[in-house]
Amino acid sequence: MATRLLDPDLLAKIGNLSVRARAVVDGVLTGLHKSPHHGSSIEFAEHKEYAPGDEVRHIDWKAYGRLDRYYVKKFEDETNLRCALLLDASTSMAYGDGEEQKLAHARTLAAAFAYLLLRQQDAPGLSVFRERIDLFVPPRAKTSHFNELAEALVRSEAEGGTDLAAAVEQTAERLQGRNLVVVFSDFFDTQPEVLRLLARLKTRKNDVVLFHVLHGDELDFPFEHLSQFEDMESDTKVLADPVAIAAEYRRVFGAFVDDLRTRCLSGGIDYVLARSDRPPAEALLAFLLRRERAV
Amino acid sequence: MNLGFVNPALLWGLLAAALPIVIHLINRRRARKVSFAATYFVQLSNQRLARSLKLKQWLLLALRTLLIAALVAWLARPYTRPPADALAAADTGRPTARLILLDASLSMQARHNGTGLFERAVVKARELTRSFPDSDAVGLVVAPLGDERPPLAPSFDRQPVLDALKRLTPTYLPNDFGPALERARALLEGSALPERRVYILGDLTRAGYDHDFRFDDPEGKSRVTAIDVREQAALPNLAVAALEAERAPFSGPRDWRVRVQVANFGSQPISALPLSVSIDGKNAADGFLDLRAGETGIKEFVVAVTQIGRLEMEAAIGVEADVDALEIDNRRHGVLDTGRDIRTLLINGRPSTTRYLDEIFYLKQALNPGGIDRSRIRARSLSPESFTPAALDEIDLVYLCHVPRLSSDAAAALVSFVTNGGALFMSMGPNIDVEAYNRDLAALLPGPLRGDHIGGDRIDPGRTGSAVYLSRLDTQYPAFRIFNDETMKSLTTTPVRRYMTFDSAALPDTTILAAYTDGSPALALKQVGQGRSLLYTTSVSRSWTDLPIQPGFLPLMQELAAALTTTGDRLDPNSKQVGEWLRLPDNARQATLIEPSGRRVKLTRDAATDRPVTPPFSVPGFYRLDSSAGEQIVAVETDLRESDLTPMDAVTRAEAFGSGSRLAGLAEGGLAEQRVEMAAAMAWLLLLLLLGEALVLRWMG
Repeated sequence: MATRLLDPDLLAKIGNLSVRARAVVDGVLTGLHKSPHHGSSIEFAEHKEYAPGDEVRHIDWKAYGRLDRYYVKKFEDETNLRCALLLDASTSMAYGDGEEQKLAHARTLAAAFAYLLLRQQDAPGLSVFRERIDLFVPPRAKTSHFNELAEALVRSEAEGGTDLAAAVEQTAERLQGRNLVVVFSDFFDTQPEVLRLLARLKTRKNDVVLFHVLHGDELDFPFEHLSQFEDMESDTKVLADPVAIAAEYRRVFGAFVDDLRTRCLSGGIDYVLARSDRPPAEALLAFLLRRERAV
Repeated sequence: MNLGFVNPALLWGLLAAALPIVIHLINRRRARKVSFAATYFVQLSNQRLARSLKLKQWLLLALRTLLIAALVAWLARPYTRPPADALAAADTGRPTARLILLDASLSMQARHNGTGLFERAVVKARELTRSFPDSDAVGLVVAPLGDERPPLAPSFDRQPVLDALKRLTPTYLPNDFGPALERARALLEGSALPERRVYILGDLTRAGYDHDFRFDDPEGKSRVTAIDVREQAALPNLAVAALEAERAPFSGPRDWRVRVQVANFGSQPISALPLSVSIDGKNAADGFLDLRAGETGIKEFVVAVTQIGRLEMEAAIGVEADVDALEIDNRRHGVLDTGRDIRTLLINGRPSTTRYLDEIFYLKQALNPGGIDRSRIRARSLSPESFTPAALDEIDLVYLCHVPRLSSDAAAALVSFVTNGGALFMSMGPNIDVEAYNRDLAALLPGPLRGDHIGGDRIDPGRTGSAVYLSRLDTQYPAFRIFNDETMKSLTTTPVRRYMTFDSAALPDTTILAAYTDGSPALALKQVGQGRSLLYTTSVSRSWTDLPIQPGFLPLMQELAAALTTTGDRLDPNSKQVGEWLRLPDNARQATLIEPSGRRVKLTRDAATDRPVTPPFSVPGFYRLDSSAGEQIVAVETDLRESDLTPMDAVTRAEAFGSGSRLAGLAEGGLAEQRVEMAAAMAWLLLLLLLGEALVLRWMG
């Protein structure tokens, strides 16, 4: 562990991710013009009379002023929001360069989400999945938890295939109480049961949000020269004249995106399209604004 | 119908038709590899479009391949021809001696539909040679016959004929099928093969046939097929038919009247045809001429020629190719001989310090009116006493003006001078010693002098005064050609008061050029050896007549001087035609011929005469002969008959080539005419393919 923490490259990456996450959140909050402390996830439960062993810092000094007794604010664990961040780290998420890589974009979004939740004293957890969940960070509400999450995110490299259904199923088994389930993926492996599973989660009073992370190339298909397209997760190779098929591709791909969105909406699942060639704050802000309107 | 190509070597370019396929394959190999997450969707799109897209791509590939192939085929100039050559197929199938008679005359240089007739004939000849069965012998005769174009007897080896065709170039000679057909018949008769055929390849103009010859074979073994390489098309043509020039002394002492004759052999009238005359390469006159169809018109110019000597004169017409199939006859050449300076010696029999009383005052003014630069006659005068034989050196013409008598030596020298080619002009006067003349100069006189005579004694009843007048001039004599009634008037109305008579009973070698109204001779010309002696029976001063002060006196003296020295009075009559040759003068030992192209040819001697002889002139234009006898220019012309491209009619053809002959077009061998059609078809095909490619590209989006 010590070795891992002393890895300067890793630390730099974590630092960068942290800075990016904060920048995204600050930008988003500035855009919202609202204090994060008024978020719905801070659930004040009740006062209880102070007894030895209670946290002194939880003593409500205003109540003491009024009542001359020590009362302690009680925040019950079960009332805190737990958030399961599901990050797709399959090979297909490696498409794109630098900040525009889908995985990098998804990492930033996940980190920003975690940062935002921690600021609200909610408990974000992380599941990095490929054909199954390969890495799980349980949800905690401590501020220091961010570093753990960030490190897990940074360590997640794109490799292997995808089995989103398995990941969702595993996640569902781990969930307790009310949860916010946020999935960051390109959803290229969307089996019908995935959405059914997600819809089932939703019915259990969990909130489900899909961040559909796509690269601009996948949406716009800007290729010009005769190319051999090689799938990143299978051996499929397709020789095609991009100019000739561009219109058809956009139509087919557009239908796929629309279909996913429609199914999500019909299942009460929140859907956010996150283009990796656009600033991450854009997708996050779109999501939060929608939530605010819903509230 | 077989397909052939004029430039089959270009068909190698068909390999280029594989280019689109090669490019396609290279592109496939060089397709960029893109690692793409959404390949599934690419595959899906590709599959959906695959069928129509592949169809379009293959269609496009096929169109592009065809486009290149069609372009190459177009450049190779495709044509069609009947299977195994219809001309040969029409035969009996027995071994046949075949002789190709190819017209290489000047008219074959005409162009029709952008192709030269000669080129068509050679292509056709080559095709025929290749198409005949191996069991046949093939020969070649080129008309007009010539050493450079030796006939080839029919042989089973085609190569000599093909080689000869490759070397063959059109000539500038007139055609004559007669001798060529005769040679063809002789060559065929020498063949042992049972069948004989002659294929005449030419433009078959009516001018190319010699009516004295008829190709006929009583045994019926030989047959003639005439192949008209211009397919009976009417070929319009304009030609400079003639170029004439003569001096125009009444316009000016250096003026020439130039006549250019232009013939329109076409069926369309021509208006404002530009016409120009150049002398020694410099433009001298320009004009326009209107010509009706089939008409020959004349354009006349008066040109001041200041240069002296033999000058290159050329007349040319500027005409568009669509009304002129033959370009070479659009100019005509001539050598304009303005003569050299005439060096004269005037022996003054009655000098005087009073100018107008001097015997030669008027004559000298007439010969050299404007001073030394204005006339080509150089006049020097002497008294009879100072006249010596040495004075005759480098003199062309001697004037003996009222000289009473000459010493016997001087007289003998004068006789010798004239006998050797010199010219003498003798004028009379009151002091003439008749006896001395009859004694010392008898050889130069037309007849013995009898003494002077007063014109008034035999006065013409219609005139008044004691005088006679010039009345009869021999207008055929070059010196009088320029005179007409109007210009003669001043001479024929001026009295001659006295004149010398001579015994005109017998006048050997003498011509009376002019006589007085009383019938007495006024001008008597005698040929003496190689020279000429002219007796002017009255005076050149005013002592016997007032003629010297008349306007006509000046041109009369000028023209007489030119005529007596026979120099510079017209275009050189010795211009030659292509095919003719020139024998050089006796004194020419070494000679070089400079051709119009500038090539120098050293002439060889004729074994019989030991004189250099030119080879036959092969091209029209100016040839220069540089020999020890001096430089000579020869204008060489084409035969005007070749300019008339009117086709031979059926009757003449039957007469010329025999009743069994038949007329064939190039189409029977598949040549030029169809070649043009194929080119047009190929052009359409190219256009359609381009259009198709554009449509497919548009369809593909």
